[in-house]
Amino acid sequence: MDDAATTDMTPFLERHERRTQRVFITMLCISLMASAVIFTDGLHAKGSVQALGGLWIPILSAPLVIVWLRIGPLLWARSQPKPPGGRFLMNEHDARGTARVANAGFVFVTGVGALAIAGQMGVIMSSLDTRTADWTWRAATILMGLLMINFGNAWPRFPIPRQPELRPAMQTKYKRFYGWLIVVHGLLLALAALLPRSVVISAIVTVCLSLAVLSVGGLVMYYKDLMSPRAS
Amino acid sequence: MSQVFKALADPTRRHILQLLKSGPMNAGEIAEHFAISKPTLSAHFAVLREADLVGSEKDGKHITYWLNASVLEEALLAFAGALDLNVKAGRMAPARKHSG
Repeated sequence: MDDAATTDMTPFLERHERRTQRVFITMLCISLMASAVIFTDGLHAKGSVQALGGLWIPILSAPLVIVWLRIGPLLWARSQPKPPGGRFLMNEHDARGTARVANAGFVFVTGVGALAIAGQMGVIMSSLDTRTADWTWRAATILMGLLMINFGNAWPRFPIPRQPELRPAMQTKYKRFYGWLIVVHGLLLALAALLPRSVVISAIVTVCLSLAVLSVGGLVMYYKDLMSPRAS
Repeated sequence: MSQVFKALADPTRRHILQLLKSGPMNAGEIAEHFAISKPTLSAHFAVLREADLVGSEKDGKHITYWLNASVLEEALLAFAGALDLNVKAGRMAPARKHSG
C-alpha cells in the first residue's frame, strides 16, 4: 500500500490542456470553413441571405457547439477550488481517477465536435439519398450516446475533496448521480436512434429534454445542499 | 476486469462498497458494521484497492476509504448484490452472512 505517496499531476494536466486546445482550434477552423462553404453554396443557390432559412442551423450550430465544448469545461474548472501552491499533488488513486476522467472528457469533446463537423459535411454533400442520410444521422446519434456512456462511466472516479468543510459525502452523492444520469441518457439516446421513423425525433427530443431538466435540477439541489448549514 | 469480478464476488466486500456509497469513511467506522477481525477486514480492503474500486488515504492513524467505482462497476455491484453471488473457487454458491 502506498497511501502517502503523492503524484504531481500538473504536467499531465498541462499536457491535457495543450492537447485539448490544439484539437479545439483545429475543429473550430474546420467547422468555420464548412460554415463558409454552406453559406456560400446556399447564397449561390437561393440568391439572398434572407432565403437561407434552415441552412443557418448547420452554419451556426456546429461552431457554437465546438466553442461551448471548450468554454463549458473551462468554466467548470474555474469553479473548482485551486490546489495549494498551484500544483495538483494527489495520491495514486486520485491521480488515476483524474487521468481517466480527463481522457474520457477529451474523447467526449473530440467525438461530439467531430459529429458536429460531420453534420456540416453531410449538408455540403447533400447528394446522399434519403435512406443513406437517415441512417447517417441515426449512426451519429448512436455514436453520441456511446460517447456519453464512456464519459459518464468515468465521471464518478473524479477525485472528491476529503476536507469535512467541503462535504465529501455530499460530493460523492452528486458525482454518482451525474455519472448515472449521463450513462442512462447515453443509453436511451442510442436506443432512441433505433426507433421507427414516426417516433424517433420525439424520442430523441424527450431524452435530451430529460437530460437537461435533470442536470439543471441536480445542479440546483447541489448548490442548495452546499449552501445549507447542515454538516454532511 | 477479473480483479473487479473477484472483488465483487464476496458479500463482505460488496457490503463495504455499499457503505462507501454514502461517502468516505475511515477503517474504524467501516469495521463497526462487521463482526470480523481487523486483519480479515484489511485483506478485504486490499482486494478492493487492487481492483481500484476504493481509494484510500492515510491521515495520521486513520485510513480513509472512499468509493472509486465507475458506473459500470456500480451496476455490476448492484447486479451481484441482487443475485446474492458468492463466487469462490470458481463456482457459485449462496452468500453467507457477513462473517468474513
